[in-house]
Amino acid sequence: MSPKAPDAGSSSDEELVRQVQAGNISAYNLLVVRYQHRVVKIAQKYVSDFADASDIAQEAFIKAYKALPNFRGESSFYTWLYRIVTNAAKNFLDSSSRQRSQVDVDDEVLNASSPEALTDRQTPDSIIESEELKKVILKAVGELPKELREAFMLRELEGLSYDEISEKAGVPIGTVRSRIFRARQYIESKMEQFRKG
Amino acid sequence: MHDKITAVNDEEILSANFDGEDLDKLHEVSEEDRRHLENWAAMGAALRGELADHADMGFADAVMSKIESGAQAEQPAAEPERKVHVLSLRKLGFIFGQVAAAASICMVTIFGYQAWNADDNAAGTQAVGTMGTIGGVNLASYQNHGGEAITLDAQPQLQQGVQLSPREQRDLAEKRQQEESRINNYLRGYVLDTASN
Repeated sequence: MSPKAPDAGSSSDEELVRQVQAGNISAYNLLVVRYQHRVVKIAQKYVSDFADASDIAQEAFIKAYKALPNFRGESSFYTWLYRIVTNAAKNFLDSSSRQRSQVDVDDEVLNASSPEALTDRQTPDSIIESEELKKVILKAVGELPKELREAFMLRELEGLSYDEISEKAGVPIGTVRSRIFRARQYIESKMEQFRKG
Repeated sequence: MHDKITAVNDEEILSANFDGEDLDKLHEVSEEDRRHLENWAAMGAALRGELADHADMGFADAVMSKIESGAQAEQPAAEPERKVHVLSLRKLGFIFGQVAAAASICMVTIFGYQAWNADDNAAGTQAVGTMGTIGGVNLASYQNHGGEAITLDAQPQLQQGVQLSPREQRDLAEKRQQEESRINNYLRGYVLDTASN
């Protein structure tokens, strides 16, 4: 069974969109983190280079933010965002193919003449090999106490709400919230250790 | 110790916000919060197989920084643009108002005049009065009710006790002459126009 993507088209997206439309920029931050990996992955279907995919994804999120006042919720936020990403990726491909046909200089000269373009992409500290990161995360999940792991997996893999987890585990919502948070804290500590090397 | 507890609670609420819960308690997202959100998003994405070949742990930060700096740059420029727009709308409204008023006056004059004629023509049985000669022009088509001939040759009705000096009488006669000439010119045009139709 394929995992259910949490919150794709859920009421919490709608609530966050409403808050962004009312001027709460922090709510948009939550939408960005929630969908950033999916959006980058969509972009990578169009371009092989990760830096290009990341640029397309960033542009898509910025466009979505600017267009959000006109978003009427006729489709889910994710469906709407998906269209913006695919359009951004197609535009990127169009413009880069036009540039390739117009610019008749050798790559070395081009790179040397635009150092700003390079510095914009030089973020080695924040970019991590996904396979390594995935191993660290899965190992940490395996080390979690059973009740924390259960709550965390029901949320992240099954996409259940706190209410539903509470009912399934037979514990109050406050306990569910605390268990999920503690699970995240533990995994995060392992991620930080990995990043520090 | 108390501060520590408060900080943990805030993070726990942020974790719930990230899952779309307790959104009414959503507070401003700090840089530290963003780092947690990035890590939590990577955990879920890793479990669901949504990670691209690399994970940019500064992605949301970069997007939000661009949005925030863009919003600051755009804010002052937006106001004058709106004013120009409003001004041009007002100007257009004024021009349309003037045109509409002029058109209304023309229509009332033309239709009123035609309706007056049509009324008399349709009545048939009533004696039709023909307007007398005004300044030597026979106004055959210019008719009125009750056979009362309109003539500007009639002596003006003066209030009792008002005596005009010879000069005033001469001025008055001159003005009447001019008025007759103006009316006849207008009517001559109308008669010729209707005759040609």
